[in-house]
Amino acid sequence: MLKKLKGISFKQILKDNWIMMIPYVMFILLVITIGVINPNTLSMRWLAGKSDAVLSLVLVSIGQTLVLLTGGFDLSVGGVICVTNSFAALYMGDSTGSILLCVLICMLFGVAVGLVNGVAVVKTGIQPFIVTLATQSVCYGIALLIMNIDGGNVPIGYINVLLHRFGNIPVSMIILLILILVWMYVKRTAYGLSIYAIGSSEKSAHLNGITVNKVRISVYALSGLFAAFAGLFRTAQVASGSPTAGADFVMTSITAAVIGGTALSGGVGGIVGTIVGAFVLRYITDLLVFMEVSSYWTSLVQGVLLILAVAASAYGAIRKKRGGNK
Amino acid sequence: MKIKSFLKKNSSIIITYILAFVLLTFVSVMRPGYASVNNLRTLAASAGILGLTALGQTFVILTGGMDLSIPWMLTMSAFIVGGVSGGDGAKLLVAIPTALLAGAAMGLFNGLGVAYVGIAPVIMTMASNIIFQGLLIGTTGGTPGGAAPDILQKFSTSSIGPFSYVFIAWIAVSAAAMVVFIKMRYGRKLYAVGNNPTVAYYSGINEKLVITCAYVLSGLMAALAGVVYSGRLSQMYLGMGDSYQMDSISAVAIGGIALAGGSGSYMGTIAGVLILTILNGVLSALNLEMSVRKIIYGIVLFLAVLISNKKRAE
Repeated sequence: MLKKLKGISFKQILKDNWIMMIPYVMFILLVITIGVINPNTLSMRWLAGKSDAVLSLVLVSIGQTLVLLTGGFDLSVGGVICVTNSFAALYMGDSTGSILLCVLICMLFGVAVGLVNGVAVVKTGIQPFIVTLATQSVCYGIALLIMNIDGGNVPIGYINVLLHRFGNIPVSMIILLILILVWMYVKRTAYGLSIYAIGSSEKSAHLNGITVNKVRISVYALSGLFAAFAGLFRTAQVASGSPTAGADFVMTSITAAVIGGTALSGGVGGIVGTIVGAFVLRYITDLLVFMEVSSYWTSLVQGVLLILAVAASAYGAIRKKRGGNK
Repeated sequence: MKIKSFLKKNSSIIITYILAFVLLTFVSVMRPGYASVNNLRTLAASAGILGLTALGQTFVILTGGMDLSIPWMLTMSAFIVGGVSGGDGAKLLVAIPTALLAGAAMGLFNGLGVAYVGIAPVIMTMASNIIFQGLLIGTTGGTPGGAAPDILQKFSTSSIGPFSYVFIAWIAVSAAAMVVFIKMRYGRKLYAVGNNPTVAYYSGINEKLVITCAYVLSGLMAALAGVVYSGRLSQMYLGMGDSYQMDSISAVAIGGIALAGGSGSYMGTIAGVLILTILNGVLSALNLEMSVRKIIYGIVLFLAVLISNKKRAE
């Protein structure tokens, strides 16, 4: 009896959640495909390197996901990465104190940009797309003021700490794990629930006593903070600064979230999916390298794979909507 | 009374036009010679090209979508003009229709993905932008395109007084578009779909078709902009369309059209185009560093949208 019940519920769980499985299935398929082409990629060493390479994208995408969940949009993350990356690469200095100070300044900058975004979105009623486009442009300008061309000098100590390996396990992987655990917890707190509530319906969230504006502003602030983290980690990973480093992250962070099952309309999705989405994106890039696609055609193939990946998620969402209507 | 109600109804658009005028006056006082006929001609031509892309963007944004693939649709069609005509003016008769058709086809691709597959517009058009880029770079091997035939170059650089032909062409196309927006059924359907696709569907509107058509029109406009733009360059280059991605959206937003779709007027977009063109002209005329330019651009963009949307927020 119990066994039967369990069987049914498992089937039911699968039936209810198969859409959420799509990104994971995609990820596993990619890992297998790349593994077949190049068995080296299945080693722990390669995975560790991959995790280092993906972490910056994961960090921005997490902030982006929080904003998307509330139904917003954050284009300024690219700008924040540019500024923090170039600032950190130039002014970090060699002593522990100066490194910590620099990290703190970068974090404050990210939060400040996020607060500006959040307050502007909430108080003026201008669409987030435009507000963050404006702050993005300002940040790109600031980054160019800080440094004109790629360069800088990143202290070895800083790099060693962030790229340290405990045996085979890199710091980045531990950070990933912590992020997932923290999210699992935050998701269930009042704050986490209010993010979803606002994304689903701002009006009913407000009627249920959620201070909508406060939560919305905080989400942008967090997005700025995470973008600053991404810029800081990139500084260690690339060991140099670039005033244009962030441009690539704007659309990729949104894409990672969408592939991971977050809806641009808000209220649906989550950070674990986004992390998988970020890995899927980077693995797609790797796949192109391993398949030896001519560099002239890479962007074409990448675009097609992107659409296929997103279409898979979109298809699932449509199917679910239809099912809900029945 | 009638005038009063007209003013009241369109106050945000009128404010945007005043803003454009103030900006132009301010700059001409700051930099004498800025308002010279020669410079105005150049500005008008840039306004025409941006205006065409912003018109396409308006169609899409009214449905609640967004078209990020304008840059490479524009570049693609410009390269087609150069490639098919090979510098021969007579072959333009084939080259221009081919370029426009290619633009419409690329727009159709976007439209199908958004309306029928259900991919979020931002993602769909961002990905298709990469695809068109790859297609062009793959087929050309990354080499720059040739030049447009003399006759097209002549068209794109000639003018009547301060009004370049490009500008006049944009105004003509805009007039036709206004008829679509105000008088034709398709215009009403655009607003209906943007307001609420579900309601539009139950009102008997084929909302998927309406959305797809909007993207096709956007592709067509981007292609037209590409054709005209190709005549203004001595040599076409990859990336010639890059700045139009965000500028076209900014122009629409400054014009007071809600990015969520369903409300706003194309008249506003025209004012938005003028503001952005004047701003870009100023920033390059002042010979500022790239960094300062971007900071000013961001601030002005924000303020412009803030001012033109003031009424909506209240």
